[in-house]
Amino acid sequence: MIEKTRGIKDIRKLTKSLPTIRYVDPEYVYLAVTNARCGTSEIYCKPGDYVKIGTVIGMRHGGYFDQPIHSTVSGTIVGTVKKFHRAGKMVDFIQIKNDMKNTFDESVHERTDEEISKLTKDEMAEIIKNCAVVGMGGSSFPTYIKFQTKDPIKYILLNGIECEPYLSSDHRLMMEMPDRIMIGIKYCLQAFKAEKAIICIKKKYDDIYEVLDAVRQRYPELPIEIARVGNFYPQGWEIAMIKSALGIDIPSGVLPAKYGIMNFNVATVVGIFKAIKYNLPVVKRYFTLTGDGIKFPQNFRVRVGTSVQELIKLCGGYVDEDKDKVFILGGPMMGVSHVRDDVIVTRTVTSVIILNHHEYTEEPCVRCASCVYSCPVGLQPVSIMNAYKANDKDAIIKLGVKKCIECGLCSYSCTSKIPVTEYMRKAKKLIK
Amino acid sequence: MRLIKENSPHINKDSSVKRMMLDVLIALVPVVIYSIVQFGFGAVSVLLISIASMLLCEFIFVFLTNKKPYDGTKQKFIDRIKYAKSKATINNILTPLISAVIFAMIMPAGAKWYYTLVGAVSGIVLGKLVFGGLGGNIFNPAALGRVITMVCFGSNIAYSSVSPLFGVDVMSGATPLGALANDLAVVNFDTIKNLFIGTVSGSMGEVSKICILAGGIYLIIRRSADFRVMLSMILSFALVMLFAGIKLTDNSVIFMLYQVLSGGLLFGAIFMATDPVTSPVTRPGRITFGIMIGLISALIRLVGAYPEGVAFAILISNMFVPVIDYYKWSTNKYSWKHFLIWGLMIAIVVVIVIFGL
Repeated sequence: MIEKTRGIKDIRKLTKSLPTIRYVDPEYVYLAVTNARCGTSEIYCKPGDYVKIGTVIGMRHGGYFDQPIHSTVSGTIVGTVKKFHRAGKMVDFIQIKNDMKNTFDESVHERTDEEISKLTKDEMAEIIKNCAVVGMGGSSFPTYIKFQTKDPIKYILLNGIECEPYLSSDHRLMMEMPDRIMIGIKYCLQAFKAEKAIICIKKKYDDIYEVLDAVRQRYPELPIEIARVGNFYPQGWEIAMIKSALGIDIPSGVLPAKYGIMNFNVATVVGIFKAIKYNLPVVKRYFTLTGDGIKFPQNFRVRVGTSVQELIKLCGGYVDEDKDKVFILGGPMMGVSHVRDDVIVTRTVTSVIILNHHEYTEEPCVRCASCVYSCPVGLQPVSIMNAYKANDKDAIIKLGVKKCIECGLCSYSCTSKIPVTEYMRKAKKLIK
Repeated sequence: MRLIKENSPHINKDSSVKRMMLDVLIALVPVVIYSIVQFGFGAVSVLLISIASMLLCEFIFVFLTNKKPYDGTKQKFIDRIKYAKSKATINNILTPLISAVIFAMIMPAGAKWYYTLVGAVSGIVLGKLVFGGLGGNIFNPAALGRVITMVCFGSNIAYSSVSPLFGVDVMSGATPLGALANDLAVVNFDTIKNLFIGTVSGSMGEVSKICILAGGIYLIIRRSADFRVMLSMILSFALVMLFAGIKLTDNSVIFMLYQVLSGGLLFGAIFMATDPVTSPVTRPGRITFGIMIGLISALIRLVGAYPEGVAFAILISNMFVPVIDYYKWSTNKYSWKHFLIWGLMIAIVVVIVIFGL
């Protein structure tokens, strides 16, 4: 249709009001040796070693940072196995047999409120670095680097929008652990000396608003606001979120910190809370397993390192075993599809969506321009696609494909079912 | 069960080209019914000839472009036809159908059969198929066909009919625009009313403005056509006509209404200019395109040799689409530059009209 596509048929109601199932004691957990941001690593332990929750068992080396690998259960190391990482690569995973005793490492200790109130931003950054807290919305960007910013921060924005359809892990997190979010915000406010913190949620979710508003009353000293922003996609994109919540337009390519804004995912803030309060790395997370290809869509609180196959079994398995499925890690708009369900829940996996596969026939482009109208960045995907087909690099650069956030709206709204987003990626590669 | 590898996004909007095409056809239904009621068999024959010839041309195109790979044996003709039939999609039926209906609607009822045939065939072949079928065409096929008949047969096409619906001999021979060229005094409120209801002579689908507007509203509600093109075209045309009315007549508002409601302007704005394939892809670009059609058709009506210029204006503006969409200046955000360009375009035409008439 010739219109701006903003809303995406919301299928979150599949899971959003279901209670979370706690599945925190799997028999084995698997920890990735390398990940998308860290290409190399070294392992400090050998098969047979006994590890506890929070024990550092290795170190991943990224381009400009190191990231310790923490054990998420107590038990013995079995060895390494090959499994799929969320990026779609087969990588080595350290397999740990859970002894179900949940003993904590010596490094895990509770800090008193007094101790915490004396912490400076750099000390907090150090703690967060040692606990390897990363952006839990899916970016896996090391959080301590955000803490090292030199820019004065005025506002802290919490991203609880979760604008992708189907996903509800952040929704459940906000419903069930609002206290941890508030205390996490308290630490962030203290670290950045920010004026106020704003929790951004979708306007249509009254339930989250009521919970957060009620819990906010318990912390009258904290300058926390709740912004009920738009329901459209991609509202969770940080630039769209900042525009909706604060009215500040940030040009693409500029860090929000330059404008005095720091944003975190709500799950990251809970990670920060755990790290600062208990010196504990992220060992559990909320996880959604949903889609029309699974029997009972469900929210889980799982141990990091759980195999998705076990969770699928808990959900009753696949629907219509004879039909082809699409197995997506992340949201249906930006997630990566996998050809094997042999995937591990890492810290940054928010969800797995299993959809029945639909084969679309691609029709010729009729220039209806719904992609142009829908593009949140204001690009012209159809022109970029034609320029890519003509191999016209000048035109691709001038049309600004680098600004593309690959939100997938152009493909989603295409009346001819052309994979426009894929052309955007190819065009980006072409001008590299 | 297999897990399929596919690229994100993994979900698609529930919309299709087919739906857009069907919407245009549905929007055309009132116009078609009115034309059949008013012009009777003359309308049906034009409609049928146009539809049959365009569908046949499209199928020959599918036949020629889809050849089974050579496998060592000579393929029988009947097999090739079967193969082409299996390759033809719903779009190979719906799009020529739309072009054919629109083309028939802008032809006068009771036109000789070979006028319609020549127009329809040349329209779809030269306007669409030589560019590679759906999505590749530069020109609006219906407008091109109409212009070719206009150029080839010109004055032989007479607008004459006795309306079976109203039983009156509606201005036999002369269209409202033709009448206007002779005598400006005929313009009064009753003529406007007649124009709006459609009890006048003219091309088959262009007479009833009520039916056209109903179709237009349906298209806008269903989002199957862009209202920007429609509005900018009609408004810019009306503005120029307002100034021309000040220059030519005493009552410029009546003159403007008369011009907007007569001829094929509304039909062209709602069904022809909005063809997405032949319009630009950006919001400001579409407004520029609409203004361009409105201004050119106003100029052709006021100073050109033909009484009617919407089809010409659409074709001329179609040629400017690649320029409007040129990557060095096309953008989807409105800026002061766009308003400057639109203002300049309208101002130039208004100056031509005021000093040229």
